[in-house]
Amino acid sequence: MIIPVRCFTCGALIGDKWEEFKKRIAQGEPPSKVLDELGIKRYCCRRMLLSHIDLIYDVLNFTRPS
Amino acid sequence: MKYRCGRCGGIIDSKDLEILPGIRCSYCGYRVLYKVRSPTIKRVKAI
Amino acid sequence: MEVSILEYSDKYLKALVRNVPLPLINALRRTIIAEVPTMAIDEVLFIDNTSALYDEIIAHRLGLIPLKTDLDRYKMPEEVGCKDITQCREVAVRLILDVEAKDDIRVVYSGDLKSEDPEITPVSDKIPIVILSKGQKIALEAYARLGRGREHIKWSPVSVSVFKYLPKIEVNLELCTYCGECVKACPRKIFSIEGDNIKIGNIINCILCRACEEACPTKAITVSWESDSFVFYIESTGALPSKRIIVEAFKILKNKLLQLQKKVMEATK
Repeated sequence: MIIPVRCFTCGALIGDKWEEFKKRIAQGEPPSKVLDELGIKRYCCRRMLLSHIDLIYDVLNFTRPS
Repeated sequence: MKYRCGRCGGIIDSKDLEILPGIRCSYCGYRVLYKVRSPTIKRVKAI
Repeated sequence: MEVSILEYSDKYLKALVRNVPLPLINALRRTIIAEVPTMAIDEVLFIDNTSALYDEIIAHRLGLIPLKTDLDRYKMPEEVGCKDITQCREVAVRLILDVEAKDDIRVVYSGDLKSEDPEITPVSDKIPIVILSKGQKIALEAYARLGRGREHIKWSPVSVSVFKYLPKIEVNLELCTYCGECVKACPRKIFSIEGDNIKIGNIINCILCRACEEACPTKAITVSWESDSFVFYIESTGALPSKRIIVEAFKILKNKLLQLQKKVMEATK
């Protein structure tokens, strides 16, 4: 839905790295390079960013109008 | 109990709805109403 | 006992320790994770929330945000008998979040949290808390307090606290044929062969997988470890600097031992 604040396995802070990761992937950079440069070493943390889908943007369109 | 109209955003009290059968906004007649969040401050544990 | 620092910064600390009994290093490791206190949001008062996420989900996310911690100016609620942290100034810090997405979709970040104590703020300002569509609003008061990892992991000062044995690799030079199978097999590239010289690189990088032992056709390699020597590594979340975490952990361990000693002395009088 929205990027989790911390890695599920080790608890390292990863939420703040999502927006930069998303932007650079969209620009075409290889994910492994971006993850390395963001300092995300363990594969438990890497999968958090690699396999996250931002469903909240789709859900937002259906929330109640205020 | 207060409700907000989906179209004009006007607030309607549940008493006013009871007068007519079928619910509709008193101002614009729209039939989709949303319940307004209670003014009670909700206390949640961050667990 | 010997300690040599391999890596040191506010965030990371990696040390090589020699002649330290394993239970002591393990006690330190566990105390770091579960007993060293940190600040984290524990109660959230919602005034308004028209976002796509439930109040409880947002509160959960807020609780997980690591906050820079000041251990000297705040006390644990039990120490002062505090029953309602929203009323105890020496226990809790109030952080306010009040954002409305007026014209566009707006991401609410940890940087939007306004703390009443400028020293107690999120470690990073870029953590997305919730995303608001046009017209949606969020207004809340979050109260942060000191707590320990054993109560909820959000209060743990570290993401990683581990140690491993210090590896020892012995190559029997009478059996070694310099075939290079170990060089190919090693996942951490520890071995290198130059002519008829076999060299072992940084032994600390060895993960004790024994792939080299299995790959060696003449069984010339023996993988074992130094007794009572460990490579200790911690990674802070940013709430406390790594050195402070270790200092506090030792203080806590020492206190527990002193308390136990006192009780035993009294009981055996």
